[in-house]
Amino acid sequence: MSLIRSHVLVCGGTGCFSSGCKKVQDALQEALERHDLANEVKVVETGCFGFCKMGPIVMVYPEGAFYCQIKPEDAEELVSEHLLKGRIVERLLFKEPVTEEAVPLFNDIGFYKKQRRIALRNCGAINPESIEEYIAHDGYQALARVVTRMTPEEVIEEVKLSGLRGRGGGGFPTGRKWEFARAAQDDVKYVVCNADEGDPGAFMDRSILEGDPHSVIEGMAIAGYAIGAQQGYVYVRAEYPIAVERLSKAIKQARELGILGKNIFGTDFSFDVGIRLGAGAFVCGEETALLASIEGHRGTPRPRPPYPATKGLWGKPTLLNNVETFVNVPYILRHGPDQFAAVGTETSKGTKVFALAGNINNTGLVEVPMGTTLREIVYDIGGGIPGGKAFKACQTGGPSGGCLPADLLDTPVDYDSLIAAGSMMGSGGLIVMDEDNCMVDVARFFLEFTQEESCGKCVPCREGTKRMLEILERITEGEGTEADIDLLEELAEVISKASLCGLGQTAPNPVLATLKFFRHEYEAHVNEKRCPAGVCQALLSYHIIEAQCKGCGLCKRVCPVGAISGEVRQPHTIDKNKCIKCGACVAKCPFKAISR
Amino acid sequence: MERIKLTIDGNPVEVEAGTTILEAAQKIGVHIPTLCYHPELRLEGACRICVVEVEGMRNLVASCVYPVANNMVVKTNSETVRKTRRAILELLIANHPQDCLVCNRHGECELQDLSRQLGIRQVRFSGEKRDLPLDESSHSVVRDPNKCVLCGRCVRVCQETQAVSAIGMANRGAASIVTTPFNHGLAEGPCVGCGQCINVCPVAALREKDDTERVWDALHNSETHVVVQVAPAVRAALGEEFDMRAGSLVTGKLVTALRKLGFDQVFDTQFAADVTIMEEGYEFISRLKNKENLPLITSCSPGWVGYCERFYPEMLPHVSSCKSPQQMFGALAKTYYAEKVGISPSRIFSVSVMPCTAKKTEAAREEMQASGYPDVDAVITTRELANMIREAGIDFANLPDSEFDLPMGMSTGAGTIFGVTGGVMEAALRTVAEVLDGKELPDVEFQQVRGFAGVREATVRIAGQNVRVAIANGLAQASRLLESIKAGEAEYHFIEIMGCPGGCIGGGGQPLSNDPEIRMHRAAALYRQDMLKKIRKSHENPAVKELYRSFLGEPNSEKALQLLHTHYQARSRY
Amino acid sequence: MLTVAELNAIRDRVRKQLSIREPHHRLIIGVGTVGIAAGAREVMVTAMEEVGRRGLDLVVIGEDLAMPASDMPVVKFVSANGEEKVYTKVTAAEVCEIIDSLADTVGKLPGA
Repeated sequence: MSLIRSHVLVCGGTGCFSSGCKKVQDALQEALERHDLANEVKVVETGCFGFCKMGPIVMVYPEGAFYCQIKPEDAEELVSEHLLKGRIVERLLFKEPVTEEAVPLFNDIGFYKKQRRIALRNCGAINPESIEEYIAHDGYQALARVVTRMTPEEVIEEVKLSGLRGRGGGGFPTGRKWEFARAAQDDVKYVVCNADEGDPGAFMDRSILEGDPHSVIEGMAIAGYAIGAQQGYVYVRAEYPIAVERLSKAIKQARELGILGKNIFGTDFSFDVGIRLGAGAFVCGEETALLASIEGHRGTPRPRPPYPATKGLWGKPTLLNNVETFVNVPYILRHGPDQFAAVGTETSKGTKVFALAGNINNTGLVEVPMGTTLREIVYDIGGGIPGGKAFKACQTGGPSGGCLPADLLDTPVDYDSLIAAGSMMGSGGLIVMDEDNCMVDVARFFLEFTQEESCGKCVPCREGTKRMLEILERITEGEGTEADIDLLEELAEVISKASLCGLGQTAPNPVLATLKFFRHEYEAHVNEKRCPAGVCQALLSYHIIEAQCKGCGLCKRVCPVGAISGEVRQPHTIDKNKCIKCGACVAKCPFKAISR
Repeated sequence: MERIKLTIDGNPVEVEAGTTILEAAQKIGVHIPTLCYHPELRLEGACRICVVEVEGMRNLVASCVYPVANNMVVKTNSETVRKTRRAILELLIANHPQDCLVCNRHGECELQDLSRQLGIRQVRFSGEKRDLPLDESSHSVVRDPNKCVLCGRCVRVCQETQAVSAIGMANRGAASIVTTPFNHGLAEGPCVGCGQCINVCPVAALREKDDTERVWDALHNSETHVVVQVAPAVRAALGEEFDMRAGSLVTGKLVTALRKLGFDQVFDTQFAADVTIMEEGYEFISRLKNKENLPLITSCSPGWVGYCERFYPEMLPHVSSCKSPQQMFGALAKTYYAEKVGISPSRIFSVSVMPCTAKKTEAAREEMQASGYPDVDAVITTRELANMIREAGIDFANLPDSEFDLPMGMSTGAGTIFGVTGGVMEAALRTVAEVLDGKELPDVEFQQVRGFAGVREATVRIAGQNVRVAIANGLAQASRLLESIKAGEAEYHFIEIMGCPGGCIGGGGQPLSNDPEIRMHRAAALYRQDMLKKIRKSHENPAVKELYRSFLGEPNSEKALQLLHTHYQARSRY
Repeated sequence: MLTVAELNAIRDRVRKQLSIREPHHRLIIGVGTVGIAAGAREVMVTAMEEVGRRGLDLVVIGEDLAMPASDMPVVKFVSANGEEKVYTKVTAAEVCEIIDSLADTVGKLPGA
């Protein structure tokens, strides 16, 4: 008879792993043994809770107490106070960034309150290494229903009715994609899961694989049944070791239990899943490059048509969806397309997971109903900008996306609204920038990424992004001209119109969007040789505003090169020849008397 | 086949389903510029020069790969298309040395042609350019990565047509390069020197190793006796370099031009080809009798020999021990001829004009020194000879004809057809059949071994015996044939393998052309020459008979084996 | 091969173990310092055994209940709809009776 009265869930996602969750887990176990509670309290390693900034995260059930940034030293107190004496340890609870109020329960935290977890439904809630826990959460029920009671056409119809669109970036209707793959005539077909998550900062696919690998397997198996495939592959980057390990274990468990393999649930349907590792080239997220990579070729895209649905892996009809798309599938087939479609907007159904990053209080993974506004994400979920700074822009869609300014904060996040606003959904990166970010520098940063990740096959992307980057570097170094801005625009147009694949076609987006909304910053760099945000080193010129300087001498003392001089209580001055533009004086001055 | 109707630049077109926009446009005379496209290679769609606008599509599409569809409306010259195409070309030029005036491909460069065609007058993009070292490790092919436009045509021909993969794409983005395994240089890798990469390179990123200066030096040196031999395929192609029609046979003008250049004796590789038939024919007869090391495989093509040494070393015992005609000629020039005219071989400089770049590597093999001196001192390609003729100010197209010098300029029709795939086989059969049957052939033409299919096979009845023969041209096809033999799916007595598609007429040293039909024109010229020859069987060549009577004795005699035969060795690919 | 019935059996069996992550009815034992001194630990262990034995949809929770020391050990039942009942000076034997009286209200876990 089980005596377990409490589960202590310790996040084992990559973020918490890096911040030391393994040691916390061990310390908790030791403390429980010391207090003779090991028989009553069970420590469970889970997948990602999403709130990575606050890691390592520990949740204690049945109360649902949410502890964050737990160190091994905290284990003793947690066990003796909470688990033995039933006192919630307030000092270890999450505190809301603005109010600084401690919030004991997970569901009351602002970060989670507005979220709606469909794709992440099991992440952080179950032990990802236990197929039984997945089954206890209705796992594989959808697959059982599909293979025993539905025709492939009915399955595709339900996916179509749900309105699910591809979560990898393009937003293509999933049901229609399945229909094409179903219609292709061939004895051999493949289902491929794109887990080559490449956008810098995006990690929802990794978190799902780490936290809920069985949902991905189940979604793929349902897809296999629907299109008539018997083999699936997950293409996942080798830089995701925990995800690979958990997925491997999950596949092994599913095979052992007979959920993968021959005659699934006693039917004629057979399906298996294999893992193929990628080496983390951004372009390998492009479907044809991904397939080339699986086949053992250089990971470069090829022109379409033919599309993979008719001619994909090894020339066979192949269905490709990404991780987040696949995890939505069991939910749809279990709860019905209507329940899924009830969430979201007219053209974008369900939820979307975003990786919230940048200058924002709560960073991490958030899942919100489609149509939630950027403002809600940034302020209600993200807790606003640290240090009371002003919001400047919000970058969505990763390096292929665009930056939206403050007056577009009420844009609802769905595929079409974001495109209409001048950005895109992409795979769900969401980076917040404040007044201290230079938008030219931001564009340069993203272009540096895409030009480095360009596969080099087509000329516009290979040569064009390099020239664009050079122009942006010139501008940030104060050597840009008005003509450079025109050249940037022309190149952007050529690259997006003529590139072979999505990488090139979208590579100029950060430049186009910043030019659209922040052209004045470009012009300031070019015409006034000034970086308004004070980021571009070459353009900075530090000087002390005489009227504001009280002559306190703090700046003089902090300057590492002795560039500041002046008498006490008299306005100081900066020697521009000595100044190395390190910014130490600006940070130190209590009177905001130093400008750059 | 389903018919597709579409509109290109306002003109209705009807084509078969599966046709590309580029092909459909060509049908109605609309010329869309291309760069990475090559009619004989797998479609790539990489350079984007051929982009066109398709109504209803957000982006431009690459016409070389995009299939037509019903009611498609295509614009090949809209404002967007024009601007985009020009910008793409400017981007390519911006990362190119732009040293056209001193470039090997000046006037024969597709990048230059495109720039002229699109009227590029200014390159608005500046910045970092590649600065990579030349690869001059190979005797045959020089690589200049700085000129490379990364169209990938060379990589495709090397992988697909030749199954060698001596070069491939490496790195990403702007750092992308075509390079060799481990960046070690062509000579260190599996490269066989066939030069097919040069033929498809649109610029001067790949070119033959230029040996013209060494030939000029020899010609200018009065102490040196310079003899030259010319391979059969050269006379069927050289005219193209001087704007003559493809397939023009320029044997007589060629001889005149060589004399004008100052060569002391102008001989014919076809003479050595006839000798080869004697040696290889008797080798085959002996192997057939003793049933040893069958099938016998020809050894004329150094591209093939190099390939066999690297990729099929287990087949080396099947390869004929005969040197190639070039090397037989060189060996005889410095022994037989030297003796005859009383000139020391040390004073003889032996030049060969070849359709082939692999011949340069072959001549450099250290075992190729029958006289104690290199059999062949310098090999120049058809293209290099054309350069010399141009430099010397010779008006080639209007030259009078003249005859090769004797005795080593005398040849038969059998020697002529060595230059085309199936020719060595046919020449050998003409001799072997007569020797074994002991009576004259009613018809010397073996049509069953002719043609351009990658692999061909035939059964020939000789002396009451069915002789199974096979022919392969192009190394990927050779590989296909050898695999089928290794798998026990086929059995042959005699096999001819040529390293290049079409045989020597399609060699890596021939005039540049992207026309897939060029090889047919050149082949037709050689078959025409064969028909015009009074003597069409090698064993009837009087100069060859004299060679055996007065110098070698019999085919495969000890002296013949010493001078005209060689050996091979397995070579590492990396 | 796994049948659908076998799948459901696994689901029901494991769901019981996981019910503590989604408690419906809760039986709170006052386990503060005073409570433990008065024997609350023994009450709690007995309660857990009894609940487990009977397969009830009831989660036993230890909490530091603010109650007079004289009333310890204290047991508080909170039903899924928020209804509360408080029992004072509960012994290990009495807690079984309390659980028995609640059995009909809370019901059994699925599959139990």
